[in-house]
Amino acid sequence: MAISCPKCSSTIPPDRYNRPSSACPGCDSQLITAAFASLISGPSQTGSGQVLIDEDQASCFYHPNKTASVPCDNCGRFLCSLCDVDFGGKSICPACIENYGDNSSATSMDTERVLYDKLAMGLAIIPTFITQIVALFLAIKHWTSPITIPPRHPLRWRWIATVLIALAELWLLSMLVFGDF
Amino acid sequence: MGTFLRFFDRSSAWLADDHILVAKRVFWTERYSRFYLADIQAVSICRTQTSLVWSILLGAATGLLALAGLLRGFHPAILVWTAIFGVPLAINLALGPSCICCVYTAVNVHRLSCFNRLSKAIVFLQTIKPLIAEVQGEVSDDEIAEKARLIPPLRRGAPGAPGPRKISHYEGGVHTALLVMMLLVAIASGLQMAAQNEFVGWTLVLLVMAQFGLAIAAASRQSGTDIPGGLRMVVWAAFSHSLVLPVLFVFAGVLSIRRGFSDEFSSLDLAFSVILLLSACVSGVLFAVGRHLLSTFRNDYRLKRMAARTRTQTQAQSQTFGTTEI
Repeated sequence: MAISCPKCSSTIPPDRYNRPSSACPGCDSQLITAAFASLISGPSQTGSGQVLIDEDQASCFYHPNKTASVPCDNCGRFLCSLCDVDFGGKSICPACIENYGDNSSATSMDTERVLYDKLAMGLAIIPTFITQIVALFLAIKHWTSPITIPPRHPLRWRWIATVLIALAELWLLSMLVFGDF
Repeated sequence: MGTFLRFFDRSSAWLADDHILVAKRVFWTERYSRFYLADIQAVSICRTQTSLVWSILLGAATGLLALAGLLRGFHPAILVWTAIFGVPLAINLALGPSCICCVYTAVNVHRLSCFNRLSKAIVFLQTIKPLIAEVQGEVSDDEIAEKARLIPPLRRGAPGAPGPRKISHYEGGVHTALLVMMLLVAIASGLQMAAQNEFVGWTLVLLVMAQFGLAIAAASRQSGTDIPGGLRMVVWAAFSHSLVLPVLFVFAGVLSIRRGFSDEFSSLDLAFSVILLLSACVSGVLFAVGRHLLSTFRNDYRLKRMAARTRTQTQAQSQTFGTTEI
């Protein structure tokens, strides 16, 4: 795909690639464009699978008329070169990739996560009885749920803070509403 | 690698062994995009004027408040408000110029909003360049430039990729009117400073309002045209000038009214005279710069058209008569 200017979307001429500084032909903005080998190498060619010649040979699970070349590293099904998907150095079948989205431990496939600890902490700060109770409920239910993918401190301090803030606010609100115990 | 924080969203980029993870958080939901080093075709960084605009706006507000502090003494309220505008101004200046950073793959273009400052974006590029070269292999710049010429240009509406915007020619009619208005504002400001006349004052108010309207019209008209960048900046400067000038007058007036108009009449006169002088100078300079840029732009376009017409005529003649060997 040709490279376009991020500002005005004009196509950048190839002679301006990999220069310390150049100007966009459309908007004249200062531009730095770094182009790499994959721009000119084109898409990698995958095999379409070898047709099964000998009946005794193992065949692909999804294409019975093609020879199996590798087993799936996740489920063990035999795969032809067409079904063999290189995923992080492993050979995975399309069905396992589709199922990865439901598997909470497969962090490499996650595209979206709800950060329950931040949600609970936000709710705990709002001083109403209901939000504190909801925050405590979330803390108990999602204490071991996976949090953000980028690396974080192993101590789940947000959950600890949420519980402490929720309990403190519940106590303060009770004092205000019901008076001193 | 980088973090971008706004009021309710946060974008960050993380470098893994074989890919870059971009995490964008909105409230309590986080979305992830992965760009494998083997798939990245290009990275581009385009400098923008966003930080400059913010510096001008924050600087104008800080300067205004500092001026009020100098004229009236640094009341705690003025100090607080000066800090409210001054601290973001200092942060904005410290972070440096702003930019747009995009990653290109075979199927899409993704803007990395966490690298919105030129210094951060350049560090990002310098970090991933050797890693990408290690994964994809080293290729010389000349070979990339030569083979990239064979890639067809982007067609409008191509899925996953922005199409090129059509640039049309524009002679600058509205810009001419705006420049004339700026000249009139400069003259009226100078007259008002000298004469302190009510009629001239009201005329100046009407001219500034007209300049404001013409600046908006010129800004919208110049979009998608071949008007040069310098002239576009003049339009935005005229817009800012017509916005800031009334605010300055109101501010000076309010400050004087709070202290008692009759007691501060002479200093109010001085403040107004300074503002009018600045206005006249700014308008005059903008008019001169804008006129020069517009006339240069029109001359260049006329020369290009003449050259193109001459080339077309020469080609037509050579096709009609052919080349004859004597």
